[in-house]
Amino acid sequence: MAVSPEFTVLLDVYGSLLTRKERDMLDYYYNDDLSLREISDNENIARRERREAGQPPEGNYPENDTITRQGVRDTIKRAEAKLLAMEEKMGLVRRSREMRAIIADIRKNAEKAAVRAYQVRAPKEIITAASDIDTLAEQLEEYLK
Amino acid sequence: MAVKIRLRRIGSKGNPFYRVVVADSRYPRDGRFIEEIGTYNPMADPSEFKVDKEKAQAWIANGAQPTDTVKTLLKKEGIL
Repeated sequence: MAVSPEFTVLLDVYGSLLTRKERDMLDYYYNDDLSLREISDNENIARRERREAGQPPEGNYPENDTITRQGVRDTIKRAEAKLLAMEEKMGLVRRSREMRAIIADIRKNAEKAAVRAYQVRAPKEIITAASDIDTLAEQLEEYLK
Repeated sequence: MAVKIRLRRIGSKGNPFYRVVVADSRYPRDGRFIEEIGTYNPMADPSEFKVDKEKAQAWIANGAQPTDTVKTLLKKEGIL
């Protein structure tokens, strides 16, 4: 697992567009900090249990197949490339980061305006309007969560 | 029993935040842990890694294995 939060955030946003297997492995890797070895061990145990319970394979692999550490690595790398491609096309993470910065700026200015208007005893509707802008910007912030 | 020091995510969607926990390596996913020894916030700028230095060193001296990620963070803090 990398120390950078980049893929963790991409997984939160686009994870539902990956296959279940890809999503699970990235989840183990980034959110639970499991090693490639631990992920392949867990997966092989799950596959064996399904086999012994007489259930069909869950995914695209031959009945008796096991996955190696390298196989997990390949799956994770492929899924990461998919996440990067999605962000490249849709840019949801970048956009929401940029919007958050702008909203923070709006709120700072609205607060400044409200305080200043109060200090110079401006008409009440000016103070109210400034604090309304702040409230609306706060609502926008909630949407981006 | 093999014991590991690993990160475990808490924190909301789009806002990762981790606990640094000491946990039994056999049950990596069940949420149980032996002790929480710190936190890691990768979203802060710069990222914030807080860990109880004495506890981390004591666990490692007793054979606990930090994951590669935790190892990197501990090295950055000069604990390893």
